[in-house]
Amino acid sequence: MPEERKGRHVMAGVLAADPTLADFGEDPLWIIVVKAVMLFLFLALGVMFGVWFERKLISRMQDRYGPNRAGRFGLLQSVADAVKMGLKEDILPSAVDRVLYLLAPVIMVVPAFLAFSVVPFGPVVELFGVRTPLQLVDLPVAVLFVLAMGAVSVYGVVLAGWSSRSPYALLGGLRSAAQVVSYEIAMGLSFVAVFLFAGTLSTSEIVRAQEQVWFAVLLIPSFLVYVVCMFGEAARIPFDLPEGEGELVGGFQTEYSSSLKFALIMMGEYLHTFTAAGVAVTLFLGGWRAPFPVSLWEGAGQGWWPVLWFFLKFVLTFAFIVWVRASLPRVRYDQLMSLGWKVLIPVSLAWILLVAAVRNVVVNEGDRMLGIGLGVIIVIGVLAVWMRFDTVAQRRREALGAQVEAEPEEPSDERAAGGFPVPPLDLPHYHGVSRS
Amino acid sequence: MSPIGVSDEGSAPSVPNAIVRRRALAHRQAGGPEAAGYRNAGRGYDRDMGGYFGSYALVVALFAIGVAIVAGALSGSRLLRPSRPTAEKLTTYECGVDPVGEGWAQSQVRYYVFTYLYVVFAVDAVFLFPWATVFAAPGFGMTTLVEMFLFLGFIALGIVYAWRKRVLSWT
Repeated sequence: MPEERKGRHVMAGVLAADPTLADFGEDPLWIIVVKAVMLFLFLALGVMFGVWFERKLISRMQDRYGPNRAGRFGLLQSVADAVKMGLKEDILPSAVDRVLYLLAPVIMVVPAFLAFSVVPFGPVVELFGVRTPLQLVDLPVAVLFVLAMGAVSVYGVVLAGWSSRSPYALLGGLRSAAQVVSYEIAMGLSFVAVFLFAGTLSTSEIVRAQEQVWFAVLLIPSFLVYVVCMFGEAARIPFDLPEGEGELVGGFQTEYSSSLKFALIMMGEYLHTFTAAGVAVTLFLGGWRAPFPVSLWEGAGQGWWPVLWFFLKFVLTFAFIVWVRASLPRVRYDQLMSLGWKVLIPVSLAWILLVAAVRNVVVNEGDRMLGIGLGVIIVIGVLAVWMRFDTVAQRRREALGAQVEAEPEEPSDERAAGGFPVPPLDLPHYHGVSRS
Repeated sequence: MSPIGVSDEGSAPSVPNAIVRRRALAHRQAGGPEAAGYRNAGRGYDRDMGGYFGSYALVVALFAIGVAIVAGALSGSRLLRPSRPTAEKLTTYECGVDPVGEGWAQSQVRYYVFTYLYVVFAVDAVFLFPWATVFAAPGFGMTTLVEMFLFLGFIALGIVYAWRKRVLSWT
């Protein structure tokens, strides 16, 4: 009903300038165009200077200078790279599936652009004389939309690997599919607790629901699960196995020589990292809300200030991702999968049950005893399962330790090339034993 | 539903006139305030559309813009860049050594198993989302909670089954 919506709009505008879902779809067309251009500019410039920022930061962490030739502080390095990639000869290997090979980078980039459109940059602001929420689009299913766009771009990766007709590319594509898909489940489950508290999937209303306390504080386990999944979903170190260059040459992008298509793939990956950071800020870190000491100041949530808070949180989250890249080694694929399926998903399921039980006690006070009983049962059950598996893991660790202890005696049996150790050249699967 | 249907009776021969008339009547009777809003100004009608489907239309428009930008960049670079292919350049790179045999190696079925499991659990997550949004609303009490516990119990049984069958361990 238009009347009702208008009423809510006015109320929201007067009280706190917190946009709700109802505030969207009322902009004149030219404001939408302005906001879309601003978003595209933000993302395009963000990728350019994000690459520069990451390279500069990580080289400082590794005690070197990083790019410092093109422009002041190497600021124009990415611009130079982009120009070079745009003008370089594009090699189309004769073996590839032409249509899919060309389409795959597009499938990777475009959903990555779209996913960012639901991230709120700020509350309702005055933009060229029009009051409008500083967010391009909000949907009743906005968070689901972000997840869907993440899943769609996996198609790009898989198709890039498949259409290249190269074993390494194919393997990288398959790895990516299994990995991203596994971490997407845990990611979706980590959002459920947020939805339980916010009561909506719309990003602007989730930010609105964090007025008192950020969900990162209220729902720490969900936030931790999300942070781990963020790396898996964006395929960043320590989970960058789809392109693990030590093992798969370049992974799914091996056959994309450094032309514009390669630049598009890189851009898509960067945008996914941006989206992961943007979602972390929006769902868990209070969106555009000011951090604690600043939030005591009344004006922190007024006008254009929130954009600054959002941007600061966004940059800090991105810097955290870079920091992790500088600190952690790449995990093995079996470790990656068992972390996803045996730790993150069960933990998320148990956590959801617990949150729901506690929330039920708070919301429906009549059933308090039953709710508390359920909560206790869940905690005990989870602890029992955890103890059980922890003993299994303990036994396995001890067996592994014993094996490592026993190892130094073995090398005498190994094949050696002039005294140098060589990798084992005769394993069962070289004879097709495991294939059967 | 659209009142425009009344005016172009002639152009829709497949729909009997009686039905069109009945629909128009029903529209006039049922949609009192809506119809009034429509009569008041075209803007009101637009905003109705803008409110719900407008967001999705905007997403579609963004999609089109994104595709256009990418396609523009690709075709622009096609005009600017040189193209001097040789037989060596066009071979598959792989790891720098001349490729041997077919590019598509057979790969392990375990990737496929994981994508299968994904379908099960993605559906699970999709059922959880709407439940989580209405959970705190009045009228959804203990029953909702217990129902979801049962559902999650079944799902957990699924993951335990896969676990026991050693599908989850990457050998």
